[in-house]
Amino acid sequence: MKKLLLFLKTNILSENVSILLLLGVAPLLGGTKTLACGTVLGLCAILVLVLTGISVSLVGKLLPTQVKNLSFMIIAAFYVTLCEILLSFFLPQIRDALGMYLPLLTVSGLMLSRATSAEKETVTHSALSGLSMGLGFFAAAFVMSFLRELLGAGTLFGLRIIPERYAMGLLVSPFGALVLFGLLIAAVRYFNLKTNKEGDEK
Amino acid sequence: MTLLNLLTISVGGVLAQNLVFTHLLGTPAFLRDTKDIKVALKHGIAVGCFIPFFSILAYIFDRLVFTPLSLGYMRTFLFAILLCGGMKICEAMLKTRFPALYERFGISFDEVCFSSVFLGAMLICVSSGYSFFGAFFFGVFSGAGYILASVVFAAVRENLEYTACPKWLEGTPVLFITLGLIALAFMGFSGIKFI
Repeated sequence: MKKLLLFLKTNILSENVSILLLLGVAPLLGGTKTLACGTVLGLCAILVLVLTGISVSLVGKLLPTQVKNLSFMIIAAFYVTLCEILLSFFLPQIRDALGMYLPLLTVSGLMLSRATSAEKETVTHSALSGLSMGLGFFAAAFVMSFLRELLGAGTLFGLRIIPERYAMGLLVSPFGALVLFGLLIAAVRYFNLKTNKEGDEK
Repeated sequence: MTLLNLLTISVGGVLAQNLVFTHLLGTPAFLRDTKDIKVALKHGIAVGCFIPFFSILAYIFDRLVFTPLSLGYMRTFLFAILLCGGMKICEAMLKTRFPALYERFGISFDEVCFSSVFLGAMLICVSSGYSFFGAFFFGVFSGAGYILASVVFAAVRENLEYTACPKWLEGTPVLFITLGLIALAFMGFSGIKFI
């Protein structure tokens, strides 16, 4: 149980891939307009990361060196397209709401970094790494979409919580996304600093 | 497409539908490349010059190959292949025909490929349903918009060094907030239409 908590804490706070390493920022900024979109985006990212990691750890050695990065991108694109098709079938409104930001997971730094490390790892290790990176992205997407929908539109999953005239429409715009993301980075860094300081003092 | 439509697409590409500030594409690479105005101009031109190539490529393949064969559901995968192929072609062409220019660009094409700008531009171009000239103008002026965005942000970033920034916001957070403020300014251009 403690190990699980530590795993969660490391991937969501101390080493969050999206917030501290700035990987997969474009889908995070653009695809988190509503909580439903953000959650689905995060779950898709986890799925694609795990599958890409597993595939690359299986076939990585067979890829020619000159086109290695591009092959990684094509493998990631395959799984992202798979996700897209699944979403179009089960949740078409969310697929339409996400627009072009779900396919952008393909070219995000997430996939490249995952694939580059997965090349030298075993299948289970790369699956676990994919899960941990995906958790970081999912947490960032969840928090951003939660704040953007609740404070920006006053709804959560479509249910009105804050009356419309008190909602800050700007948060749903690109301005809101960028500023909120900046503040989120600051908050996570501050939290990491505080916990590290306490750890050092102990 | 009428001339006024093309004008809307062009002005939109630079201002109202700016790839960086409205569509939020390519932000991490953008932050990395805009530390200095000269470097920002160089990297901006490197990226901005290839956007038209990719948007036209996307239009041609989508109109001639993907739509007749009903391959729309695989669009991401096929565009990724196009992107990789296109990048390799660009790199090979530059290396063989213009080696001096290739040296001056000084960028790794593999790295540039992974910026969300190219795939994003291709997807916008196709989903907006532009004609051939629409795609061409979209590509050219979106590229110009990216160059503009790079230079504007680099200039603002140079001034950021001299501001008193709260300690907990120093570094990346304040850069994102600045990006957001510039995006707010660009939001003022939205809705420019020529009819």
